[in-house]
Amino acid sequence: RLKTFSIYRWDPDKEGDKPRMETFKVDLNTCGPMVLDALIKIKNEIDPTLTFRRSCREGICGSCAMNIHGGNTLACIYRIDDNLGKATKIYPLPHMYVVKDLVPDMSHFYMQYKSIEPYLKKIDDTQLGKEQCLQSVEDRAKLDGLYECILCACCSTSCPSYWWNSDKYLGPAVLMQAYRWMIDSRDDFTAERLSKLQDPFSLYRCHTIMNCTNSCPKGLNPGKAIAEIKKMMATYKETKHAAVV
Amino acid sequence: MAAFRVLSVIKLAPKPLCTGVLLHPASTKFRPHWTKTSKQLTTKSHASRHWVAERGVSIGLLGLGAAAFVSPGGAVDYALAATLVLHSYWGVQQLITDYVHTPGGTRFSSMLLQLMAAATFASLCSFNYNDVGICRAVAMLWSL
Repeated sequence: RLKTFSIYRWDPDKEGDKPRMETFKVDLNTCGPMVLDALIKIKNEIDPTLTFRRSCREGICGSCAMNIHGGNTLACIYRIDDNLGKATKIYPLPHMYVVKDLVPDMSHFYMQYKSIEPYLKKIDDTQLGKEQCLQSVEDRAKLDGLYECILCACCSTSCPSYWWNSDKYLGPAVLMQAYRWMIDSRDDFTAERLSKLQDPFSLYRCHTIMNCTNSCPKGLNPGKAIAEIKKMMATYKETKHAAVV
Repeated sequence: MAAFRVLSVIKLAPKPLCTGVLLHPASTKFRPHWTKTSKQLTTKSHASRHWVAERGVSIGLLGLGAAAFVSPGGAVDYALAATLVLHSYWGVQQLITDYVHTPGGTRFSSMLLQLMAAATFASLCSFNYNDVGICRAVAMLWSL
């Protein structure tokens, strides 16, 4: 059962190397069920220079995010299409700078994530660490569907608005995490977090295209989170300590 | 107290995640929003107010469409002229923000758009004043 894989290759260390598609044939009878299994088999047995990120092989680390069959997904939880007549095409995440082969440069994405301050912020932090910071069961339930995000960037790199304006638009993954901290009952800086999005680009480049929700390999809904932010933006009250941030 | 809070925010901020070479040209320029100067922050809630206004006009346009059926007339004609132009003006402005990335290009296309919107509004108004008006014109198109 020979299956053809067509994989994006580009090596920056080779002088004048141009990106190209390279095909590999893998026997599915001796290969695991997922696309990542095939990639590892190719790297082990055919071409050790094939470069890609992988770690947990069970969809919890987000390392092996790539574009398979035209959709962004995690190679480790995406089943190999067993139609032997059709090649499986694998590209790096779209519209990202490529480091090598299937490895995209994630530093800008991480920098944007850092910019939303993804951690608990308290007005009075003198009491930090002295006692537990409790949350009701209901308030904790509000974070379900948000905290599971593994920041694989499948959603952000599937968003046309992020393709055209990633320098200023934060993108679905980062905005969903921004929302996660806005609605955390223990966080004191909801209004400040909202007022940081008061420009035409950070949030409002979202035009509800919904590629993000379509592509999320964890089945989350970043599109809804962004819509909730837009609703909060329309109604929140500026607070006094917004001035210092 | 304010200074204390600023200090506490700095203390809480995590260290840089990586120090490797950044390929994305924007990543060296990228500044988090909280490093904006106080002058940039004075236009506090303009973005969200604009979003609300856009939704308001869209919903208003739906209502006006219904009103044009129920009671066509001068008032609805002029209201339609204004909201139609405003709705499409804001819509095309979003397109410019999305796709035009050079400062010169943005200035040029915004000016062009403003001219076109003004001309459209003026001609719709003169059509309402000198001719049959928008509601009546649509009704006549349908009766053809």
